[in-house]
Amino acid sequence: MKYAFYPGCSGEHRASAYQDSLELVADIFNLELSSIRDWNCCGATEYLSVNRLGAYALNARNLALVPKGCDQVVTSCSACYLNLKKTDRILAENPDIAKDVNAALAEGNLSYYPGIYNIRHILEVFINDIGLDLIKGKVVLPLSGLRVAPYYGCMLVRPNNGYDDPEFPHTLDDILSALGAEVLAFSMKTYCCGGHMPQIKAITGYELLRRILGEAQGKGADIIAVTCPACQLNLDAYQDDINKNFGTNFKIPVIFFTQLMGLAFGLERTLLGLGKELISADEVLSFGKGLQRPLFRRRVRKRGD
Amino acid sequence: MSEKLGVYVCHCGTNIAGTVDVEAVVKAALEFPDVAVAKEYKFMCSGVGQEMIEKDIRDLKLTGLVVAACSPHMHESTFRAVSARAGMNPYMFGMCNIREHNSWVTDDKLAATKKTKALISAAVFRVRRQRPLDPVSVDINPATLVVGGGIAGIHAALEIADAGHKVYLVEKEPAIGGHMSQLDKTFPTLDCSACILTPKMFSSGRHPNITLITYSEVISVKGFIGNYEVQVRRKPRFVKTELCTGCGACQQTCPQKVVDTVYEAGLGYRKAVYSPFALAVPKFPVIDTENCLYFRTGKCRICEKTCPANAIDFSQQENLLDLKVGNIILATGHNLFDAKMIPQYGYGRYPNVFTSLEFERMLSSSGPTGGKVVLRDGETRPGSVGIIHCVGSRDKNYHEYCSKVCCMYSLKFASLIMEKTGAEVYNFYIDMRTPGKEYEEFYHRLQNEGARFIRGRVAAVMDTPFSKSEEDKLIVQVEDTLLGRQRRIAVDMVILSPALEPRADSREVGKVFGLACDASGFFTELHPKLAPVSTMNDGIYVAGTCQGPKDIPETVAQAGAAAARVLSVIARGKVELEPFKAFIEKGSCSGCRICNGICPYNAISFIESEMVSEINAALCKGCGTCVAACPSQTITAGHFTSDQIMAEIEGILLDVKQESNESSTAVKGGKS
Amino acid sequence: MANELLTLSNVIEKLKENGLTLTRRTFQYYVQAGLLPKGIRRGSEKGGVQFYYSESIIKTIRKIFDLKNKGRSLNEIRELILSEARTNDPETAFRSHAGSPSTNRKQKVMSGTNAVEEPAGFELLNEVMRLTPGGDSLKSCLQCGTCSGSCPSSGDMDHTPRKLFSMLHAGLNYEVLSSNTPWFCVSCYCCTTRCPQQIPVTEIMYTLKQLAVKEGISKITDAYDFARTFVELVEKYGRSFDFGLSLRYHLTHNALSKLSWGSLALQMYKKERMVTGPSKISGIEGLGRILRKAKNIGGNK
Repeated sequence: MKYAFYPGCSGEHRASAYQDSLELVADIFNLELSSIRDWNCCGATEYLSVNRLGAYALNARNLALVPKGCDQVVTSCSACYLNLKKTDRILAENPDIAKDVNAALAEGNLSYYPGIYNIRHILEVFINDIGLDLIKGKVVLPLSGLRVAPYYGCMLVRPNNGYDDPEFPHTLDDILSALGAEVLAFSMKTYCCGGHMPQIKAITGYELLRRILGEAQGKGADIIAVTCPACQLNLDAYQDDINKNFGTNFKIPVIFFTQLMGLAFGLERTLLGLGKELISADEVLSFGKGLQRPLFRRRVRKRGD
Repeated sequence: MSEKLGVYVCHCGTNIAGTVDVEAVVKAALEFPDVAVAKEYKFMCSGVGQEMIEKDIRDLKLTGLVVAACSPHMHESTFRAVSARAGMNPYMFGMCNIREHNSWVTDDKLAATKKTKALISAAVFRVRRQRPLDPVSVDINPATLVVGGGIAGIHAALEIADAGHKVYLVEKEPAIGGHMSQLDKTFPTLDCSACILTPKMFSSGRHPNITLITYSEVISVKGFIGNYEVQVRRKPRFVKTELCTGCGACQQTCPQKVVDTVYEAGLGYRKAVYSPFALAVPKFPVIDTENCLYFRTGKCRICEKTCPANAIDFSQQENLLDLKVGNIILATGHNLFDAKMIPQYGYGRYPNVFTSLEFERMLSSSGPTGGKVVLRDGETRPGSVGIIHCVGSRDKNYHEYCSKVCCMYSLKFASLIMEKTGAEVYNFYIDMRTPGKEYEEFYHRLQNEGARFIRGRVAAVMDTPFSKSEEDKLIVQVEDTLLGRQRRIAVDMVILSPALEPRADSREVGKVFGLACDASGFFTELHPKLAPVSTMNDGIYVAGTCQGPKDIPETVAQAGAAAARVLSVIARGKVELEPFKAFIEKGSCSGCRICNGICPYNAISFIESEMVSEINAALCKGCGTCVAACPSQTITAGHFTSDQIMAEIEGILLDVKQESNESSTAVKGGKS
Repeated sequence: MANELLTLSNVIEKLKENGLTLTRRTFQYYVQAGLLPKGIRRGSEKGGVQFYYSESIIKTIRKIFDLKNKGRSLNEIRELILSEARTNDPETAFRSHAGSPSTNRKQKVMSGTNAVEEPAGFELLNEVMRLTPGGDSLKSCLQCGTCSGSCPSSGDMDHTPRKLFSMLHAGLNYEVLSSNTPWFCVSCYCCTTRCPQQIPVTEIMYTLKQLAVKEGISKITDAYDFARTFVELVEKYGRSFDFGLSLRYHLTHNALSKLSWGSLALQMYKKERMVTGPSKISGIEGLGRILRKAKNIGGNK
C-alpha cells in the first residue's frame, strides 16, 4: 500500500532517530512511505493560538499537496497528526470555513476538498495494516526482560482517534508485547508531557514531567517508549533539571517505539538512531544487562539487505 | 343516496363570529346538496345548542349531521353523543374545525368566511358518503399477567389479587424480590429493605389468587385487550417443587462455588444449586446448568444424594406454558450502568473502586462481608471513602438523563459508612437532588453528621501519587467548584453511583409485547404526564423503573396506578373498540400478503385455506398503512374510505369548480 | 506626558532620590507583567541597544508602590492601572476598539472596591461560540468542573477553565480576555474528551487566545511571545526553526536564568538534533500569499 507521508518539522533533526528508525522498519514491511513534496509546518499548538483561519490554511496546504491517487496520509508526530486530522474534520463539517480556506489556498494555486483522505498515525498503521502477528513474526531478538513504560502522550489518543481508548489505550502496549518486552501497567500513559510548557514556564513543565517520570520509576521501568517527538524531547532533556528542582533521582532513557521495533528486528543500533537520546539507553538496551542473552546468534542487518 | 343533512354553525362567542360572517355561511350551506336545515348558534356545545340539534334530528328525521365549530379534539364526542341520544348513528356525524384552523389563525374576514364555506362543503360532501358504524365490543378475561417480580410487580399483583382477581406473576430469576431485595437500608427513613419487602413477598407467595411462575420468561404474546394468549417458557429447576421443603441441604453440600454476579453483584459466591438469598419466595432452589459439575462433566450429583426429601430431579426439561389473560403489566425493572465504560474512574482496574450495588451487598448483614465495610481484601477498614455521583448520568457521552435516586442513596451510604466505621466520607456531586418527601431534611442530617461535600464532577480516580502523602491511596482528582481550585483527595475506597439503565434486552422484550422504547431504551408511556402507566397498546401497562429511573415510593405508586387501570377494565367487563377498522374485500384479495408484514399492530393474518388475508377487527387500530400499501386497493378503512376522502376533496374545491366554470379562461380539458 | 526619555538607570536613580528602591530585575518583571510599558528601543553610541522610558513612568511606579503598600496583588494593580490608562491615554499598549465585541467602555473597575459595575453583555460569549467549531454547546455548560478537574496546568491559571466560562457567561469580558488561563492550556484535550456536555473546551481556549491577540491584550504570559516568534519563523521559512526560536525567545525572556538552556542546546547540537540554520520550503512565496489572504478573510490586520 502506498502512503503519503508527512514527516513534520522535528523529523529532520530533533527527532531524526524517529525518522530513521521508522524508515528502516517500514522497509522491513514494504510500507511505501513517500514524503509529500514541499510540505510545510503544521503550526503545532502555536499558530492556532494566534490566528484560526491561517492555522487551517497551513494544514490544508499540506493536504492539498498530497499526490493524486493516494488516499492514505500518514504521519509519525502526534501533534502533526492531530492538526491534520482536526483541520480536515473541521473543514468537512463547516463548508463556510472550507470556502474561506480554499479562497486562501487559491492564492497559492492550490485547493483542498476535505473528507477524502484517511489521516493516520504510524502506530495505527502498524496495528491495522500490518498486524501484530506479522510484527511478532519479524522479531529475531525478543526484548525479554526489558521493562517498558508505554507512553502515548495526549494528542495521539485525544479527543478520540476512533481506534483506541482515549484514557487507557492499549495499541502501543500490544506492539511492545509483540516485541517480547515486559509492558508495565503505566497509569500515566496519557498524561500530558506539557508540550511547550518547559519553555514558557519551566517549573510547571518540570512538574508535569516529574509526575510521569515518578510513575515510571515507581513501576520499575527500565525505559520509556514514546510515539511523539515533543514527548521524547521533554521526557529526555529535562531529567537533570527536574532532579535539581525536586530532589528526585531520575535517569530513565526515553526512546521511540520504532527504535525498539528495529532493535527487536535485529537492525543495527546506530542506524536506528540509538545514541541520539540525551539520557543514554545503551546500558539498558545491552544484552546481559537490560535484555536477556539471546538463544541464537545475533544477525545484524544492514541497509540494502 | 339522498340524505337529509343538518348543518350547524357555532359562533363560539366572538371566537368564530368575530372573524367569520356566520350568517352568510349558513345561507351558503343551505345551497349545498342534501342539506335540509342550516342553523347558527352562539355556543353549540351548550345545553341549549345540543338540544336544538337533538330536536331537529328527531323532528326533521335527519340522517346526517355537520357541526362547524372548534376542534374535534374538544367536542367530537359531545356531538356524537347528541346524535346517539337523538336516535341517529353517531358515525353519521362530521365535525369541521373553523376555529383553530380558521378564525384563530387569521384576521382576514373575507378569507376566513370563504374558507369556512369550503370546510363546511367538504364536511357535507363527506358525511353524505358516511355509513352507520357500530363499535366493536369485546369481553374481558379477568385474569392478569404481571411480568417482573420486583417491588412494582409484587405490589401490582397484590392489589389486583386482593380485589378478587387472578394474577400470574412471571419472574425470570429463581425468586421474586428484584433489586429491592438486594438493598440494605432505604432512604430517607433508613428502613431495612428486607423488613418492608419480605411481608409483601410472602403475601404474594401465599395469596390464593396469585400464581408465581418463577425462573420463567414470556416468549410470545398474541391477542388484544381482554383477550391475550401468552406463552411462557419455564426453565427447568431440576427440583421437584411438590417435594422440596427449602431446607437448603443441597446448597450446603454442593462443591461448586460460583461468583454470584446477579444477587451479590459479583461480590460474593453462591453454589451451582442455589436459591438467590435466604428466605426467598419461592423457597425452591434451582440448578445452574452452566456451572453444575454434573451438567458439565457428568460427575457429582451430591445434592441428589443429600436431599432428605428426594426432590432433586436431573431429568426435568424446559416446558412451555400457555396462559390466557385480559391485561398485562410490565414491571421488568432496570440494570445498572457498567462503570467500566468510564475508564478514568478506575472500576475494574483498581480493586478498591466499588459500584453502588456492590456496596449495598457489602452493607447488608446477610451479604458477603456480613455487613462489615471493608476493602476488597475483605479485612481492612477504610479510613476515608469517596462517593462519586453522576457516573454515566447527565452525560451526553453516556446517558443524558438524571437517574433520580443516586444523590439520595449516596447520602445514605455516607451516613451508614460513618456509622459503621467512623471513616471520613466525601460526596462529590454536581447538584444535590433531593425532591421527595423528607429528602432535603435527610441531606441536612448528613451535613450534621459530618459528611464532607465537594461540589465538582470528578475528573478521574488515580493511583499515581504526586506526593508522599498520596502513596498507597486512591486519589480523587476534582475541581472544588465552590473554591475554584483543583483538589486531589486521597481516600482508601471509592464508591461510584452509576446511572440506572433499561434492561439490556428491553427492546427485544418490548417487541414481544408490541411496546415502543424511547431513545434511552425505557418503555414509552402513553402520555408522560396524564397517562404514565398506560401504553399505546390498550391492555398493556408499565410500572416501575422499566419506564424510567425512579425511587421506591414512585415505583409503588405506579404499580398501584397500573393495577387500578387493570381493575377498571375488569370492572367494565367489556371493552369497546372504535369502529375505524380496515377491511379486506375477500373477493378482490389476491393473497399477495404485502399487508401482513407492514401492520404495526400485527392485526393481519393470512388464511391458508382460502389464500386471502384477513384483518382482526379487534386488533386493528385503523392507521391506514395497509390501505395505502394494498396494490389492488382491496383494503378499505372504515370511516376513511376512498370515496369519502375524494368527496371531501371535492367539497373543499367546490368554489374553485364554480369559479372555473364561470371563467372563460378555464383550463381546457381539466377535470373539476 | 513628559518628553524627556530616561534609561533604566536614570529611572532607578530618580526613584532613589525620592526614597524609593527598585531593582533592575523588579523593573523588568513589572514590564513583563504588564504593569509598566515596554521601553523604546534605540541604538546607542557605544554600539548595542538601549531602552528608553518616558518620565511619566516614575509616576506609575510610585502608584504601584502605593497600591502594594495597601496590600493589592499585582493582578489587581494591573487592572487599575490599565483602566486608568485606557481612559487617559489612547496610545497605550492595551488598545480598546470602539464597539468591539470584547471590550466595553461602560465596564469599569471602581478603585477602592472590587465591585464591577454593569458587566458587559453577551457579545464576547456569542463571538466565542460563533468562532469555535462546535462552540454552540458552551450554552449548555453545567459548571460541573470536569474540565478544571482534569486540567494538568490548572494550578497555574488565574481562573480555572470552568470559572472562566462562568465569567464569560456573566459578561466579564475584559477579565476573561486578560486572564492567563488559555495561555497555560497544554492542549491535552482531557477536558474535551470528558466534558458531559461535549463542549470543545480546548478549541474554545484557542479562540480566546486568538481574540486576546486581536484585541491586543496578549501581554499576559510569555506564551504569546513564544507563539508569535514561532509563527514569524514559520511564515518566513515554511518550517519551524528550533535554534532560531530558542535564540530569539530565550534571549529576550529572562536570558540570565536560562543558562541551562545553553548547555541543553549544546548537547542537542552535538547529537545532531539541532542545527543553526533554518530549512526553507521552495513554495514559501505561495505560502506567504496563502497566509496573508487567510488572515485577511479572518479579519486580522
